[in-house]
Amino acid sequence: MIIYKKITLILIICLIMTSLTGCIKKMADENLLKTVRERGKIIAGVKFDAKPFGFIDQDQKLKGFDVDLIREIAKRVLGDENAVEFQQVTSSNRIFSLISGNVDMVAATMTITSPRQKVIDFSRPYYVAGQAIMVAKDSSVKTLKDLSGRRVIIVLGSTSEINIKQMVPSVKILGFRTYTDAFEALKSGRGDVLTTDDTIIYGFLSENSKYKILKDRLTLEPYGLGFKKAEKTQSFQDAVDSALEQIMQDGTMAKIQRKWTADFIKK
Amino acid sequence: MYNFDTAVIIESIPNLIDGVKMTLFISVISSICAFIIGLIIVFSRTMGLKYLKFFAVCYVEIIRNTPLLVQLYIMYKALPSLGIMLSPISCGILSLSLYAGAFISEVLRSGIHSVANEQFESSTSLGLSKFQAFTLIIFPQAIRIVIPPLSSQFINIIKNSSLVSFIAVTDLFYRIYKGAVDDFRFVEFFLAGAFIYMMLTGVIALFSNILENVFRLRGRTAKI
Repeated sequence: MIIYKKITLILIICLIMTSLTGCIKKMADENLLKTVRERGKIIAGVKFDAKPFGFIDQDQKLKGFDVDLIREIAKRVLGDENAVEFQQVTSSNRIFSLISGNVDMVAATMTITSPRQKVIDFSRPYYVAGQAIMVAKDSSVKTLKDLSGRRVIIVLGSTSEINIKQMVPSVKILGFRTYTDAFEALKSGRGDVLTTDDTIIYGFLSENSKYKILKDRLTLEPYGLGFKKAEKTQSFQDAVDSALEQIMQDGTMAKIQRKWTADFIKK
Repeated sequence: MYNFDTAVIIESIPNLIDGVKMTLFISVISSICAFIIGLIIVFSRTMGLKYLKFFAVCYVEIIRNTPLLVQLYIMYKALPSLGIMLSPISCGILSLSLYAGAFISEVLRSGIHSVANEQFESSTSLGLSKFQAFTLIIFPQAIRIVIPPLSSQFINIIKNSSLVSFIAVTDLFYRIYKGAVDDFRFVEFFLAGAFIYMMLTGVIALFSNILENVFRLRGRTAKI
């Protein structure tokens, strides 16, 4: 009797093990470009809360600069602009998504920096933003100097914290994981100012009239597309790079830029 | 395979220690408050008047059946619109205490129910008030039975305190998360974080095992 029980137990364990192995994602053995072609679509990470680069609009559709750019790239790499699966990334998890292979590429307002370049690969810059400061219209903060000792809201994993700490070391940092949380914290008065890229601030201002952007720009933030650093993904990266080159040459980039920044950014 | 880099962890140890301090501060205060809340609730639920009992049941069921993160967000994001503005740390302590208090009261209640009802009847017939019977006779017997599940609740408080990182409290998990996303060393930081949390909770587990042996009731506990 006991032997029968043991045998059934072993069988059950085997069954569980085999069903678990099914869950483990197949690692891409061959090069990524081939995998993408076989799959028939690019899996791209974009932000869902950074207007006007990647956001959900009123009719619940994903839109924005980065979204259009990836569609153009898909048109040139796979021949179909709808051959894209968008996945949400945030400032704090976009690099992890790339490294773990959850997404093929990331277009998420990501600044090209040298610490990041050690971990992932970038395309050429496709847009240049600047880090700016957003305050309530009646705030006493007028310039960068007024910031000392204030509570500054940032999004974790972005370049904002390092930059502001270098310029005004006495600020108190409140770090959140998403822009939604960060804007919410500013609205409810948890912090005095919010700092991030001006483009994202303009997107927020388009819906909230009680806030304004300060004239100072702390830094220049060149955005690049992010790729995983690996031999197997190089072919895909080259294909996207040449597509991006085309997009910039034939005026498509200027069109996308006009479409998304004209309404929001009045410089 | 993975290129494990211990240098980034060693570099950020002072930073992590600051986080541990914050986590301990929040957990210790919440534990004390939660235990007091648990005591009040369990007394009003087992010995209290009808209305108190009703209030206690409502409290336990509402708090126990909603996620802690939702309660934390209500404290942090919804209360300011009603005109109550609490600092992030007090939000964290308050929601953790309320949450753990509900669970601790249930643990204590199971202990009290395991004490025979004759004890309560004989104490009141000897002239003790309800409160005296509770504090002098029932509770001292109940508490030693529930030491293991009670310490699990304190362990849970430490682990749940990591949720306060979502409201920008610079506790241990906030620092780990920030280190991970700033240095792109996810494996190192999250493993180190898991290890530090285990050290913190391990102390409580050890302490609970010692207490359990000290307060073992002869003849009552089955020897296994």
